[in-house]
Amino acid sequence: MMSKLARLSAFVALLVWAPPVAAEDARTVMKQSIDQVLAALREPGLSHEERLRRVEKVAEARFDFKRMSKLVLARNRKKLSAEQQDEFLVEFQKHLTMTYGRRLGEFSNETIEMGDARTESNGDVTVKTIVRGGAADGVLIDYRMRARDDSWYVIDVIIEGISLISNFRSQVQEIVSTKGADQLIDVLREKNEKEAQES
Amino acid sequence: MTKDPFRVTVLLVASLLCACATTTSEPVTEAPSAQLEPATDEPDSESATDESDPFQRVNRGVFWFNDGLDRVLLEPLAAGWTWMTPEVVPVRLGKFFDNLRFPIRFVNNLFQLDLKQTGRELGRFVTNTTVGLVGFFDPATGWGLEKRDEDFGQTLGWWGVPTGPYLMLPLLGPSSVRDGFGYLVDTPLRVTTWLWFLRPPELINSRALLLDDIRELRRASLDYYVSVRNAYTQFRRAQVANGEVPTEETYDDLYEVIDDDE
Repeated sequence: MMSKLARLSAFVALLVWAPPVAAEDARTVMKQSIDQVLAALREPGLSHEERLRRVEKVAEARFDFKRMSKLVLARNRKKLSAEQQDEFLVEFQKHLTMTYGRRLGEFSNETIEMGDARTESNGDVTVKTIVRGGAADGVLIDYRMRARDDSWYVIDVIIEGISLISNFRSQVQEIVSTKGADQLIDVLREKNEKEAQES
Repeated sequence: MTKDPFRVTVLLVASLLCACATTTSEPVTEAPSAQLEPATDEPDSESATDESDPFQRVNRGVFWFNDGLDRVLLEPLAAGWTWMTPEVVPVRLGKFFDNLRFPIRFVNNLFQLDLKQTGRELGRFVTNTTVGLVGFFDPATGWGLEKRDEDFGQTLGWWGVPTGPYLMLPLLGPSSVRDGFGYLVDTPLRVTTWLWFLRPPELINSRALLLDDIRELRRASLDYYVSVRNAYTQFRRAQVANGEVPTEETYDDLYEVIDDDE
């Protein structure tokens, strides 16, 4: 009979040898999230606010907003105090949520076709999707995902080759270098307040 | 068929006479001071982005002009056109005009030595012009003849010519030294160069397809000028790469969190 120790070590070895969460898993969790969003958009009888809230919940669970805001700030992060960084995260998340919530209103009969997943050189996985039907027919949307804890989280959305992180980063860079880092949060907050009023 | 909204968001924000805009005055008036003051500290102005824009001051002025013109002229015309037609009309008409851009795609696929895609373009044009009723419909895509937008700017990029500085062209929108030159070279292949009366309807219709996208871009940007510049630069890079992981070397740095403290 196998000694306890042997069994334990076999178990540990199994754990160690278990292949790391693969590209396929990133694709699977992304597909789940997309299905949840589409379900929320299609469910009849929901008000716009309810729909939005359900989509936001999916996004909060699948997007790593913290990492995204760090990637957007990049080098400029060092110019912000810890409190300012937290504030930026809050406003940035609010900004993204509002922007995409508004756009969702335009979605009606589109479906999302899942494409391949590609493992990047740094271990991230890019999950490709294509919009089918509607006005955005054929548009390519890639999700760059990174493993954290025991799952995969979105750290960038790339539409037709245009990375959201890169786009925001260059705007942040411009504001920091022309108006100064302290102004950055004010600019973002002002923008959010204005948008909240308009919508 | 394909990609119109976003493609064109940039392509037209990009190359047609769409004017593009700053969230009006604010970033534009900021531009001069941005030029006079040295970047705050550290030479990091290029650390976070790789868009070369030495003519920013002039570009911002042109951008402001284009945007103004768009707001008073093109956008209202496009909105009116959208208002008086059911949605399918602008979409179909957009496909018709796209079919007319066949010569540019055909020749530039050839210049990039992609005989397969050159053949596909020819097949597309023949199919969509006949079965697709002069291009209003696109049966070719369904039959496996996918379109790929090409132009001489992309051909130059394919041959390794760098983009050069970013340029905001009056009336034409975002471009670069390379792409602006490419635009000139493509001129004889542009059907609307010869059938010039098609140009205004093409323009209004293309703009109509972008009403939501551009309105959204204006609203969501912190600095609309920079947002358009970045989107144009990334979009063109992806176009030149023809869907083959263009991004590896530029992106790995993008996804590195500096001094991560977790």
